[in-house]
Amino acid sequence: MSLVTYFIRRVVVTIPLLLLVTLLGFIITYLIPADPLAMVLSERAMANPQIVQAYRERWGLDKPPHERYLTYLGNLLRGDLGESIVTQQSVAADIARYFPATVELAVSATLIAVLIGVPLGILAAVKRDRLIDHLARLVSLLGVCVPVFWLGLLALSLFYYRLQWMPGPGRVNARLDLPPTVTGLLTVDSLLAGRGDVFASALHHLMLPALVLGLYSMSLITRIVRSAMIEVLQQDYVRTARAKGLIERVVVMRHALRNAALPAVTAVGLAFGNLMAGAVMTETVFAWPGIGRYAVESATKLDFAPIMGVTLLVAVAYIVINFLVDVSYALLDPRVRLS
Amino acid sequence: MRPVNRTLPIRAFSVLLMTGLLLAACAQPTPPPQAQPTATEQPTQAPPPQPTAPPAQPTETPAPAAENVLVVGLPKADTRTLDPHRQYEITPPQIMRAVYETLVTLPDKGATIDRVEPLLAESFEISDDALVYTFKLRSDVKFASGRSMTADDVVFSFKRLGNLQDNPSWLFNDHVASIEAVDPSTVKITLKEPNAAFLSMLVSPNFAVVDAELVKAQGGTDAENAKEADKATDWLDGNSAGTGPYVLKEWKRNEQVVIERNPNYWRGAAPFDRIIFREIPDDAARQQALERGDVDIAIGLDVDAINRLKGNPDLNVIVGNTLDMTYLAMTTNPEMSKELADKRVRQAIMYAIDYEGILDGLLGGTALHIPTIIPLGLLGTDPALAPKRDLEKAKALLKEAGLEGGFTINMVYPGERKMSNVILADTLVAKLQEDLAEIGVTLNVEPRDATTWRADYRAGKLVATIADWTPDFLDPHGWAPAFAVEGASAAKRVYYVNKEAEKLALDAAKITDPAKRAEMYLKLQQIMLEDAAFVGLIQPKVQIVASAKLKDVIYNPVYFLDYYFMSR
Repeated sequence: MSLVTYFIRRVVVTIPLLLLVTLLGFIITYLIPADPLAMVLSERAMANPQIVQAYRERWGLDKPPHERYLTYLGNLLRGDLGESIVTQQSVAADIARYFPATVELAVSATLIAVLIGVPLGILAAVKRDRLIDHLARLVSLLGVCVPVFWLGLLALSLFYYRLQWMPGPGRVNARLDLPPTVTGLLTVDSLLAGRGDVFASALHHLMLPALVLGLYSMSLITRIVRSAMIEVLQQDYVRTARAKGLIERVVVMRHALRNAALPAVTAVGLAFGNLMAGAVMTETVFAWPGIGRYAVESATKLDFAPIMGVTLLVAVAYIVINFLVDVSYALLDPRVRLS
Repeated sequence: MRPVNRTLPIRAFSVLLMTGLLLAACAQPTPPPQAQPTATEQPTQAPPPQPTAPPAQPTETPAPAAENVLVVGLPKADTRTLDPHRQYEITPPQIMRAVYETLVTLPDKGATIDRVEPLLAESFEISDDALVYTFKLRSDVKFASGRSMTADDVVFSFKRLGNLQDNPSWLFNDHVASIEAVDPSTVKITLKEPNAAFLSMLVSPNFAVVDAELVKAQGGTDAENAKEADKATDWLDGNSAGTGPYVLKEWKRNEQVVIERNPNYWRGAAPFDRIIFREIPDDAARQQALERGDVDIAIGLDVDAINRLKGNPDLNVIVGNTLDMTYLAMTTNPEMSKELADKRVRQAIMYAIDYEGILDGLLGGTALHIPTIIPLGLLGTDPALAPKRDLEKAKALLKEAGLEGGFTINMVYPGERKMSNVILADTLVAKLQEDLAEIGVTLNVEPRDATTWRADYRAGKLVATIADWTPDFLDPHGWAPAFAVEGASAAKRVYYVNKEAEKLALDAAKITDPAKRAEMYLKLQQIMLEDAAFVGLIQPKVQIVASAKLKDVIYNPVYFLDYYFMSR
């Protein structure tokens, strides 16, 4: 089966599920006994029938609920995610505005997690029960346990306030003129525009939040790689490889790691889910204009269209990530076929 | 070698996918039961007091020396739009004020709030019946575009405000019968009914005068169908069309607003080349940015943080009185609480509250004791009116009502909400619970999500609660009718009816003599104290921390800070 048909099949299977998600979301938003208009209109405006009427018409809230849902669904099927009552912008435009910042943060966090987590896991497994193993386990235990907002504040206080190694909150130095938005990823856009100063500032601003956000994933990866490696290192073929007289590095990196890679890939996929949750906190502490804060804002304001927009976005992101994990399974292990 | 089940990983991943989707489904649609863990609610996580004087040099690459840039650190901004005729949130007014101007303003750089003086107007005249307002416009005012302001711009602006039927449109629609440009420099506004408070409303940035030609060119209209036909908001979200000392350069949502000096400003160029309003939602992070010199002004820091900063010689703490308030509301409806329907019981509760303990103990002196429902500083207010704690009197009143054995009140309140932005509702309610226990009244408290709490309170379903009220304009008329007129937005929530209070609240706005008006509002407050359906608790002060190098950082409750007068 080709990759494309496999992907399409996966997507088709999830469509009914996504529709169900929109229905549930609508019902929940509708059942909460509060008026979304009261979230955006002042007391005075709420007491003014003309303004309330104008708002109800403008946002389609004067229609019966089933009609509102069907309208939403109809628009959704045409690719229109609706409009946010709070920002008064189309949800697609809002997502385009906020999502790149989160992607930039999440990708950097994952990169840090993989680049540190995998070697640390291997090292801990090879040097099992030695000092480095204990340290790795301690770090990964802390990484899983420590709340991300607390870690964020601590990191800011130490690296920004005390040591002055890192810049403060925000995506980039506020005083810089920014290059035009192409991808929304500031690091990429600055390079496209040939703006080294912006690139350096953006990268510098990215480091601390990415590290904080990535620590959880890193810990997860370290733990899973370590236990997978320990299991694999006890297998017969590893003993055989050693018996052949191969040097330990080759045994570990070539024979053992390839087989321990599958659970590690799973861990990376899993960690992505946690990134979305952690992003809300990280974005708040580091004043990062990302999708996490947008999602929270929409939820507290009962703003239906963006709530659903973000939900669908996350669902689609999960599908893509899981698809990539499956594909990498097939690539890593020739015995696995996509079917 | 172990046998490998080929389909297992795929199956496992189908399960993961489902879990993922479910997670995705669960993660977003409902607000969590408690308020979001926003920065303001994590005071315990703030870093420990800094033992050493913090470094002053900025971490960011400093701007070229020639450029005078001011950076303002804002808390989470609630800005929905920067269209002056649509915005009605907390963040926009200070930005609006820097780019747009109004016919009248507050004297003394904004420090005086109980009267107004002309700004874009040269003079104004109010008819004796407070019905017709005539404004003579200044002839030297130019928009940032270079065009001169005329009466047509004023008429266009005010009509647009009304016809957009947006959040602030009531300011125009509820009051104005007609507006006309008598000649290019005279505007005549006739009200629907006499209203002495109208002048103070005109200070609000919602009455901004915009460049009509420019806004029309961007799709704006003041026609009656403006609510559908006006298309200028998108443009106004990123540009400005005002007469103010600055022009809007950029608004990046959830990130920053940038304004630049208006070279054509009619009162002489403003001191800063550029002002950046940077949003830093986390309190501790914003505080650090201030101490490091990356921001020059930090707004919305919590009391603990400000107390720590007070010893820092590089920083100034600016204190101002807001017109916000937090009050206790008790129903007067006997069907909901036969005890509270007796005004002696409500009075007993009013006298049982330890106001000093709340204001000095819990708030460290960062708030005033608002006597009833009209904030101090406004016309006809007097701090001496505020009730004092008197447990004997409270017990006597309960005895008179036949309740010396005590009784129970159910209080639903917005859990985890910061009342007037200064105190957690839970803390305040716990204090009230403690105070009332001393007269044998048991307060049964129930925190609720703010959205459902608000809906229930507005619908008059709560026996007792605590709530906030924010100012709409600078006149007692912004408060009196809402609380004292039967069926009005606040009064109806506790079923408050007192015809004498109602008459005073309405009549006081129909005359122009300030002394007479003040007298009527004083009388009104005495009646409302006697009825005790609303008990004033807190009128918070605002504390802004700014670099000591900044001069004339002056708070006022309408547009927060005036960036024209501020300099470095």
